[in-house]
Amino acid sequence: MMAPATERPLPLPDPLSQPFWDAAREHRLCVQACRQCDHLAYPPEIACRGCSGGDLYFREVSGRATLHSWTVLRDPPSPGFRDRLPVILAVVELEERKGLLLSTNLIDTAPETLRIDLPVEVRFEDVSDDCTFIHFAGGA
Amino acid sequence: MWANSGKVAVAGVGYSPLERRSAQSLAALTVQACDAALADAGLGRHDLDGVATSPAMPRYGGKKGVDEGIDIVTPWYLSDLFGISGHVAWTGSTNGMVTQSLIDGALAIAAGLCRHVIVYRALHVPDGRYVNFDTAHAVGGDQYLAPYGFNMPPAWAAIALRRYFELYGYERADFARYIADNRANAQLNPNAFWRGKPITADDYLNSRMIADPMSILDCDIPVDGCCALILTSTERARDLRQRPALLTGFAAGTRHGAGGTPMNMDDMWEGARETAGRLWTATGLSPADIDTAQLYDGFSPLVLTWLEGMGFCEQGEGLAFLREGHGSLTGRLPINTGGGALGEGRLHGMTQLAEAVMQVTDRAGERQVSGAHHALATISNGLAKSTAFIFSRDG
Repeated sequence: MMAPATERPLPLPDPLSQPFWDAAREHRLCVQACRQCDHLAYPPEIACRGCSGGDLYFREVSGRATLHSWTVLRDPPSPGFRDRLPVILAVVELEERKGLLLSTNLIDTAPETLRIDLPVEVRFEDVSDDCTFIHFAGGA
Repeated sequence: MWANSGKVAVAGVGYSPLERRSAQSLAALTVQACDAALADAGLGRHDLDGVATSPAMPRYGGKKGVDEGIDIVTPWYLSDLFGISGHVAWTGSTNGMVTQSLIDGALAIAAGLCRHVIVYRALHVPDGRYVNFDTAHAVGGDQYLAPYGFNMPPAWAAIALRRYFELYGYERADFARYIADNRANAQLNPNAFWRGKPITADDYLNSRMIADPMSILDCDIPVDGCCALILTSTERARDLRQRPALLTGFAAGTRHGAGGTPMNMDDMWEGARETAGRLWTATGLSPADIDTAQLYDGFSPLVLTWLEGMGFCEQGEGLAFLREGHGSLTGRLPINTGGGALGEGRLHGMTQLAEAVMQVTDRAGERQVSGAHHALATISNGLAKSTAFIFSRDG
């Protein structure tokens, strides 16, 4: 059994996600792209949902997005959030494709400014030597 | 239309007590519910030759309980407990929703493989918080969610409900009447966990926020307990103790969704519409034929997904429909007449199925929808693993 968490849960990369998290560590946001039909996917998939092909690679994206929806939590969703409250949990739509959604936190953004389609931009937060979280910020 | 439409029936319904934390084991509760369903049908354990469930504990994060009889009850264990292992023709265990097991069981009856199938769902509330991501690492799909606090389904549902509010100009006050009326339905349901505890619209508006705009009253309460249904052929059911509820048809959802968030309302609507199309094709019916709708409500926004996805309302108009009381017990389309999962407790769709059966067999007591001929039951969130059923009155 894994040790109890005192920090936020850290992603444990697997063969599919390793390139994504490696890129994040270099402060690059990448999504998966299909060489056959150019469909973009997040999170990464085994097969392309555009054409069912399997020739997929990671492509860097702009990091610009719009706000799809959000919820503001005042109680910690896990122990590591205790000193980050209130926390804005958000789903953003990356500008590269309609419906290309990503779950994240909004930082440096006032809750009262939130609205659908608010422009937001990626912010990287290094949480350890080998892990970087992908956040977004509004009003840039 | 489904070739076996109306040829398979539910002949019995049984419940264990539904309690927050029962002093009894899950095995004991399961046996009680299954014996109750058999007694309701006028059958005994020895009559069963098919057993099906989805036994998984749906806890998110943390340690998933896997102990037989405590956390889960598999069909093999129940067969053994019942002493019927010797003559069971078929058992089924479907991961995902138990309602897939109901489809499997109905097909086993229709195929002549089994005479009497029991479909049950037993759920156990784990120690500590049900949703508590208490591990240091997030693996698989969790790695894209848990680091950001999306480690609990109410936060996923909040994303859907907030977007719905923003797109169509609603607020929580618009949901208050439906939520309070739904709890009133539970007062008329002897099985409901929340029986004896009515709420007002103000109680809803002042309830504890879990993930704004999802409050504690927008989430079903996890319970220890079990609900069971007995399936048999309509022909045999007519000789049993209760009037049969005929399975007119069913459909299952397949839409995966765009990913990136587990509950994206746009994908859920699309999935519900696809499921609806299959259901109307399988049954030859349309929304206008439905007398009461049991719409899955593990989270309140799912009622909107199904109300609109099944075609009862245009997209975005479902909450206005509920606000006007059209979904209440005396409304145009009585919804979740037994209180749904919000009123009865978390049984992963069994509530919807059991109530549909009770309504078309005139057994719903004070909450009976007069003359209900066709009852719809929809389960899950519209995406893959969702199911929909129509039960109909015999004759």
